[in-house]
Amino acid sequence: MVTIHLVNLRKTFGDVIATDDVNMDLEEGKLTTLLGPSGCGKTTLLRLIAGFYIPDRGRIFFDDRDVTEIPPNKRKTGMCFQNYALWPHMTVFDNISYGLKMKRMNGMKYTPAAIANRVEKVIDLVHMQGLANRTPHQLSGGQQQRVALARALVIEPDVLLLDEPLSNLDAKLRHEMREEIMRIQKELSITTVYVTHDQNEALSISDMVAVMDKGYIQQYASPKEIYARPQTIFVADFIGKCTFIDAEITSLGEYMKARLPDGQVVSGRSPLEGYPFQVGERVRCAVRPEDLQTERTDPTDNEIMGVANEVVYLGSNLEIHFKVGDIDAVSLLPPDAPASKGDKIRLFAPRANVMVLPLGGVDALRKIPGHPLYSQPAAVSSSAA
Amino acid sequence: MAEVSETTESESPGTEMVRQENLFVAVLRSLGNLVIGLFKGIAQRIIRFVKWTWRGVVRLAGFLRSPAKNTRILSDKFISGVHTFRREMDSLSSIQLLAIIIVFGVFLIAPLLKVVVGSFTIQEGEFVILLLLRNPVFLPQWSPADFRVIRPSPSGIVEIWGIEMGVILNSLYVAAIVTCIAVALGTFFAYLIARYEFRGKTILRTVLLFPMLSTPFVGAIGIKWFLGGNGFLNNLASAFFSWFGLTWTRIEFHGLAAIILVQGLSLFSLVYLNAYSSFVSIDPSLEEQAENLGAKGFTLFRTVTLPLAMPGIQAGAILAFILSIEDLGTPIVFSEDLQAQHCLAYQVFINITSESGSISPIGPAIGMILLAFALMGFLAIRKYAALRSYASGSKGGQWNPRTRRLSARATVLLYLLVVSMLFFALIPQMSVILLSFAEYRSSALFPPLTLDNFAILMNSDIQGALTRTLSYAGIATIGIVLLGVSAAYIISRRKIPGRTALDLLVTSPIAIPGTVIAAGYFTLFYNTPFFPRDAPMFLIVMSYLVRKFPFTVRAAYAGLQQTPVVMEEASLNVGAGRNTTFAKIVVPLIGLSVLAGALLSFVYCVSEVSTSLLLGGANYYQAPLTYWINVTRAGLPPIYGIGPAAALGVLMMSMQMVVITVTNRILKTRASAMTGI
Amino acid sequence: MVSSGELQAGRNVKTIVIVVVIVAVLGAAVVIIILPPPQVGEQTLTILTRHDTSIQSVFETAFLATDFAKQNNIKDIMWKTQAGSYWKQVIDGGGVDVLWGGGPTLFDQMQRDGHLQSLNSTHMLTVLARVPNEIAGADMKRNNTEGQTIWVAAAISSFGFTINKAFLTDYGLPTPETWTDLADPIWGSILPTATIAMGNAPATTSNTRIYEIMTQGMGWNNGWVNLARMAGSARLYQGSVETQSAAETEQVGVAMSIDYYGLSSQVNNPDCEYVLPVNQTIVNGDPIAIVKDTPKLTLAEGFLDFILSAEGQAYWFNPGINRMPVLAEAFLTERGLLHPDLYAVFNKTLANQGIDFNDTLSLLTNAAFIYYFESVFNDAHDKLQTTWKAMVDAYYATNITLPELDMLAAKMGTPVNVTVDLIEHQFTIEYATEINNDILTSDIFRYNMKTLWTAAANAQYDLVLAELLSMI
Repeated sequence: MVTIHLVNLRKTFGDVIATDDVNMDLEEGKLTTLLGPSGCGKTTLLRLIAGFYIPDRGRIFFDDRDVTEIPPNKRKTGMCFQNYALWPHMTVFDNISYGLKMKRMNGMKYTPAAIANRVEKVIDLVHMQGLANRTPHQLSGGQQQRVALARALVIEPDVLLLDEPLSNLDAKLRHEMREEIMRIQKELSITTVYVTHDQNEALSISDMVAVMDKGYIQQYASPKEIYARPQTIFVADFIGKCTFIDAEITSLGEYMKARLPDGQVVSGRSPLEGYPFQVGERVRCAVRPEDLQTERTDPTDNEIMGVANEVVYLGSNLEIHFKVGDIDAVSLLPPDAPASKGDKIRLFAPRANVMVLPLGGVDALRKIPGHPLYSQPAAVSSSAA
Repeated sequence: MAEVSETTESESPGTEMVRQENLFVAVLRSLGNLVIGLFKGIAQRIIRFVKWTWRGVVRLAGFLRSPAKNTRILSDKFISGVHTFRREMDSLSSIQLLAIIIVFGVFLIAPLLKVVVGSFTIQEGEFVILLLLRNPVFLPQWSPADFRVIRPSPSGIVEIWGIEMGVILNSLYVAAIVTCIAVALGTFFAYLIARYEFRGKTILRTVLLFPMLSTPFVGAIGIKWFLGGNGFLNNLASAFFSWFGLTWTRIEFHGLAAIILVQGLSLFSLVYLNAYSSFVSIDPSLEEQAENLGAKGFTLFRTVTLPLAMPGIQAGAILAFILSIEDLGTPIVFSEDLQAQHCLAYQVFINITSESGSISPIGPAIGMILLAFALMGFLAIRKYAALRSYASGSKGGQWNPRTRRLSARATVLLYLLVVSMLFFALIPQMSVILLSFAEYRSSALFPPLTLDNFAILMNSDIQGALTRTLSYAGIATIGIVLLGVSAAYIISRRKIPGRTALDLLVTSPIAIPGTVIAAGYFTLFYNTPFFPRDAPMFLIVMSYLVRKFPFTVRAAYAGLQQTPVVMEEASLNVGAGRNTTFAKIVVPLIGLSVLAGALLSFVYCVSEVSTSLLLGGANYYQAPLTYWINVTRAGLPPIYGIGPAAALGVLMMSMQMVVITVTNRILKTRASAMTGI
Repeated sequence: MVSSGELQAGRNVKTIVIVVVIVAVLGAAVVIIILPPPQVGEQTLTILTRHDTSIQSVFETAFLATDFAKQNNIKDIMWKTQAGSYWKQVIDGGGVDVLWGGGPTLFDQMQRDGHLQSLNSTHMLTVLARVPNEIAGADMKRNNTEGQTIWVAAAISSFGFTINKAFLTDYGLPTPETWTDLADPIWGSILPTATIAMGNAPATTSNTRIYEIMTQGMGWNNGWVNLARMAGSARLYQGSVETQSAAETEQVGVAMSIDYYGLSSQVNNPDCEYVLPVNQTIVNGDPIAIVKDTPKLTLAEGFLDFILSAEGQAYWFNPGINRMPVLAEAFLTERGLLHPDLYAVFNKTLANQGIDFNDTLSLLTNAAFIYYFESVFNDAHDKLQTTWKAMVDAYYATNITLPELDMLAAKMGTPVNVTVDLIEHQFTIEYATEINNDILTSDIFRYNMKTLWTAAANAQYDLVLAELLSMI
């Protein structure tokens, strides 16, 4: 089990920057998810760790070992590909045992009995007993996925890499496999890197989440942190639902005050510690729908007035789409809340739940001393909030 | 949204809508656009090439301006290049790469250079290339008399000629017209096979490839016999029509017109293969979407299907262009017409040896011009070959094709059309078959038939030549497979600097005329250990290896394209080295494609002419079959002569037929790899 | 966690590959070294020849069965078959013992280059005594300056044309009897359809000989005019086989032929007939010689002995060979008696008083001759045909008279003038002799001369055409 250190990584393809300024430590034994929309660079990062790409800049360490230049077959990583990549001309057994046959330790290799034994063990682990002699096209999607997993695990890698392994499965199977993966990962306590675009998946299985967009890591923290204290507008938007309100800072302090375009003033707090806010700076206030309530709970609560233009009944909640001036906002209320289309509504949001976020995305992060991105001159900055 | 539609209704249709134009006009217009597009494409390519050369020159000048700094930059680039190289390649691949470079360097580049070096030097106070330009026959020229394309003769035979415009223009415009014919026919057949189901389709698919069967030496005689004014076809037609009391006007093709006819009809198979590959890799949903929006039938074809298939069609078109401009066989057939002699390939051929048997510098100088055109077209193809799959890739091009069943009546009409076209296309092959069964040719309508010509197959010299040829081809094919698969793998999977150059190198034999290479071999290697006086065997095998290399490379490459890289990555990931991955994962997965490529290379080796002829003459006990076909043809009956030579030609055609049929089956949609690009 | 019982020694693939490669290389070396060595004492005779394979196989089998071959342990004949222009290179490469077939000019060139052995051993003198010095006025032996024979004819050929009777009948053409007949305007009356097939001189030595017959027999200028008139009605083919084929497939009515091609066509195609032009042909000896200083002199001489024996000569009569022997006695052998038809042709050939042919002149001008021919007849063919056709059409339309046609044709065919280095040269015998060597040795010079000749010819044809048009 190793800790993965990524230092200053950058990978370009021609003129396109796939990923840049990556500084992360992935703790041993933990499951880290790389989360983001298509094209954000998460798969690139995964493949960098696996060794299929050589970074243009930066180093990769497994514990103290610099593996940046080491070819993929010598890195002791086990990768599970998005399309499984099972070899069609081999049976399940051969697919799995292939890696074991390759393994050499001091010029010694595994005996056939040892191979059979180990393969059987891992087949049990992934619940694929009895299917060892099938060929890939005789297997269902879920079964193929498990074989791919088994293949990666049987070689006892230091790192397990999973590239959107569940995206080709139906919802129920996905749920099942998710549980399996978590179970196996905990059991073997193997450092795992998981790539997905599905935030629910990410939040439910991960120890740490790295949210990525356009090649940059926006935030690397636990799922709770990511949800409750997003550090950029992108993260706030990508995880869960959020209402965003543009505002201008009127005063600083532990709770900042900001004025909305239509004159209302809200007070909130920034999850970004250390960011040098300034009076007059344009910011965006984010508030989760469930934090917008119909009742005032504290005198310091913000009061927000608007006109409801759509009410959606969700069974467990009532989703209210309303307009504050020109701004669209969403609120989640109990299902029996008295609200209908066209009503004037008044909602309250506690100060602590209004998150003030600077515009500028990744560039904003650069201004924070102590942040991994601090004082890294953006190469050719292609990011925008 | 509601607002917009209201406005439209109230206004007159004139502002937004326009009358639908005449279908005929539309068709003409798009055909015109197609042709214009093709030539614009070629022109653009030429301009881009010129610009690229210019940039190279500018860069060179810039380099020279501050050599020190630039040398350092260059050496840095070189060093990082070496690093990449070391990282990507391991010992086995390095050996493979070295082997390929050595083989090609010695057996392709060296002879080529030897032959052309003379053309760029000053000989007897003359710069050879300029010599050519002083000869008016090369320069563009024409006179009103040259435009008489149809020449009726008092003998009752109507002669159809081409237009003489000087050697260089002749070659170019003939190749251009041949390309148009080949594209028209090839695309038509490709669309037919790709999109329609009808009885006998499988047979037709194979027969469409037969124009590719080569018929060295005897084909020429056969073509003349069939197409002559008093030849077989004219006699048949005359007899047929006189039954109805009509007189048939005898037609005879001459000069450039004859070349256009014969080449166009034999090269369309190449375009067919490439166009077919393209048509079947079009994602059906693209067409379905268009249909959903209202397009159908010919409009659909014109606006969606054809443009999507363009890369493959264009690749085939350019290949046809190159092969036409380089073709020596057809001009020789019609060489009694001065026009036919006035093309680049023929001029190279007659000017290549001097009286003393050494290499004249004039032939290679002309060869350089030819090579320049061929290479330009060749570079253009590579661009298209890379782009060939607009719409495939994600699923590997294996959709359920959208095919329609043809009604019985349509099938009959189709066959009428197709059979007549194929009849003309297969004249060389059919004439050889008929020749092999003919006792002699005379003015009689149908020659007396006999099986005696096939007695030549019992001849011990011939049998020896056959076994020898098969072993030469076999050994060469083994070498081709070993080196070719290595080359394909290095080119497609190893990201070393100079990858493109390697690709060009191994596919270039298609663009280089055989006579030039043969001449190079003779001058460079005669009486050296490679080619001892009486033993051309080694050099013959090497010549096969180098000249027929591209087919296996391309087939292996096609196989590699269909094998996702991720298969190899998975193998690397679990700890297998590059070589193990290659042996255990790649080879089984591309094995079939490689087999197809190997078969093709084998059969093309057997029918190779230029070097076989020249080298075989050194010792005919080691000469291959094509040499013997020539010797047999020049001999006299009853043992030798044209009949027996035709029998050998039939033998050779049967071998090729078997291989091509099998390969077509194996390669299926990627059968375009058979053409070597 | 790996327990010790799970491991075993692994194979190192690298070492295996290296071993395989070494084994393969060693194996190849062993195979090459242990190639069956030539049996002790077995002899091979190497013959460089222009004769085709039928001749090679027949004579090889026959020779190897002779006592001489058996006594001298000759087990094989190695045939080399390069084109004439490569002969020098091949002989220089070494290993060739005998030269056989290819026409006197080629052999005279070989003599000029010093490749021929003098045949003055006792054995050879006996053999040579059997061969007549002359047949129908043509040399059957060639001597060097010391009077020693350096080549001897092993067969004879005559030159004529093959007619296709079907073609002639279809288009109402007469049966020609002489070369001058072929210059008649009637042969151009169905142009653009050609009626005659002529071989382009550089591509065929036999057809070249025919043209030399005309220029020597009719006189240089008249010969060229005759050729021009024929060429105007003809298509020029790039080889004697193609020329012959044209007559066989009824593409033309008349094709220039050497006798054995003509006879072969006659046998195989009922429409074809070989015609010997009356008093306008020559007999050609087809030489055999020994390469100078060959180590296998005795064997070579033995071969010549065989070829020049009546029995050996009788093999010329084999079907598919159809050659005339140089020894009339061949017809009296057992096999010879089976071919009375060939005997008839032989006698007719001998009886035909041909022209007096000057082999030396041929040798001295050969290169210039053939390239001049190509330049003015092949490379300028379009204009030549246009001009001749115009003349013929005008004649048949009675716009010009026959003498006028002859006059114009003379202007058309007369050898052209070119300006080289500011001096004007007409293509006379003297000029041809003067430039012959340069044409042979310098590609550039040859190319330049050809370009000049073609241009001059085109201009000449245009001029004649203009004159014709002004006359009608």
